Amino acid sequence: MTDRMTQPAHKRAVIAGAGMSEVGKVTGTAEEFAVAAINSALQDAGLGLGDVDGLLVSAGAMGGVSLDLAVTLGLRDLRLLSQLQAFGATATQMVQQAVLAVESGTATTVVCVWADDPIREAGREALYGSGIRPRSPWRAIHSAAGAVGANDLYAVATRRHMNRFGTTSEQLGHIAVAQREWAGLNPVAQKGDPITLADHAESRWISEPLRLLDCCLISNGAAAFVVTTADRASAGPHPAVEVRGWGQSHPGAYLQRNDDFGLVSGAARSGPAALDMARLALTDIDLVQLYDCYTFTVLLTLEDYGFCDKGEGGEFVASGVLGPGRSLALNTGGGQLSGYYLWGMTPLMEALTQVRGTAGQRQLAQHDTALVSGNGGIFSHHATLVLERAGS
Amino acid sequence: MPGSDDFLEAASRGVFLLRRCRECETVNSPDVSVCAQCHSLALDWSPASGSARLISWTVTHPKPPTPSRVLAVAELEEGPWWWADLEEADPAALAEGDTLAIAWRDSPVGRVPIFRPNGRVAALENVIPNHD
Repeated sequence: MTDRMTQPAHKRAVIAGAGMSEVGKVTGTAEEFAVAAINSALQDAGLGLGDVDGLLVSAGAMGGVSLDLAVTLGLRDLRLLSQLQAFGATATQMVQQAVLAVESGTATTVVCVWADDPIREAGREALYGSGIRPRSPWRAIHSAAGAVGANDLYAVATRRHMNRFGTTSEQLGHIAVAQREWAGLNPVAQKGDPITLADHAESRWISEPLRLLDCCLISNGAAAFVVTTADRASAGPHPAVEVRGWGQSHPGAYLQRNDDFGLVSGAARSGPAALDMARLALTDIDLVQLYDCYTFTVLLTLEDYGFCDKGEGGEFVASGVLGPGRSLALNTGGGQLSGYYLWGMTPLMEALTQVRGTAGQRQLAQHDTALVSGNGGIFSHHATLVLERAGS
Repeated sequence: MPGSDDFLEAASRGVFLLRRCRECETVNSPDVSVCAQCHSLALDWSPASGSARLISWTVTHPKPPTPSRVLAVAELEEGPWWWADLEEADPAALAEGDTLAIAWRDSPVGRVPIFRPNGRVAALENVIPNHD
């Protein structure tokens, strides 16, 4: 693909604004959070609902938003309206799809939103994930045999990596500790109190070898962003963000033979693809926001992106590179482990905040270019974005 | 759904069916309708030997009173991987490459294949180490 930056400003699509609802243990429905996030994102972009002619909607675990959101928002004459679902890879995919829509002339201003409401008051409770996909006979067979529950399946992946490469629980603890330090600087983080490696080692087993502090939070909330052309965005109040590159990788063979399971993920393909499109190298990246449903997901992604050699992820994360003030600016809002869990919107929103220079107390001095990952299913779906502040 | 119905019918008789491709002879997982190797639709049901090699596992810790389980993924002798609980195993003694055998569990959806250690008996004092 030709260098995206060779496209003129009236054709090239950028991210013009972003916004979130309140997030965490907050009361409300997914649709209410979505409306708040969309209004926040449009205001951030200096635009209004009257400017919107495209909407991409994605629901989280509870299936609480759908195309009906267009009705709630009073949107008329949309030229693009779709629901997307690639689990944790959706947010990164929505950027790709919105950019393609604007650059093809399908729409001029596309809002992308993700919302979820798993934490519910009495009377509305439901099982986490009940809105994700219809029950199927094979899913029922696999569940009856025992293959049910993301924690368990990710734990099997983690143990395989430990057995093959000698990765340790303590090394995973370094990720948890560093991200909690970053969360302490983030006013919207759900968990800001510092933790130690000992705290991590003493946290209860979830599914061996994963402990409580290896696992992400659960959150209510929504996030949204606006994609439009660079020249439209340049009229807005804040810097736009260029989408320099993207990639997706879906290795397939879910629950079937997958020789790389736990050892190599789709990041090994989607990362290089995104950097190639961007004409950039890892050394050009200032900040990294990785999907961190578990500490292990971060470790595997770092290896697959090439921050260290395959199998050396444990040594790498334990070597002092992580945390505020250190050499690798990773998950600088606390991530899903300590910040908030809005699936793929967590790393994307933090990347946009940092790149645009609005990260307050945790703002990085060097913040031009970001690498963002999305990870869905059980290492089933992967997507990468390379983002850069306009004009840098 | 035809595939799962046939699978469960055979499972009720203690037979674990896999999908063998007539074109390239690859043995696929039972839940596919298209050969993963050559994309042919010419798949026949083919019974598994019941032997498998352990790849990885976890020990689950659900909220009490639900008991802990060992969930394993193992490579069947014919090639496909199968994920299932591994019963009557000492998780502290497991290693990649251990031989497992298929056993059967009755469930609301029907009989489904799970794992047991191969040739081992439940009582730990009868365990003979099979590797260093």
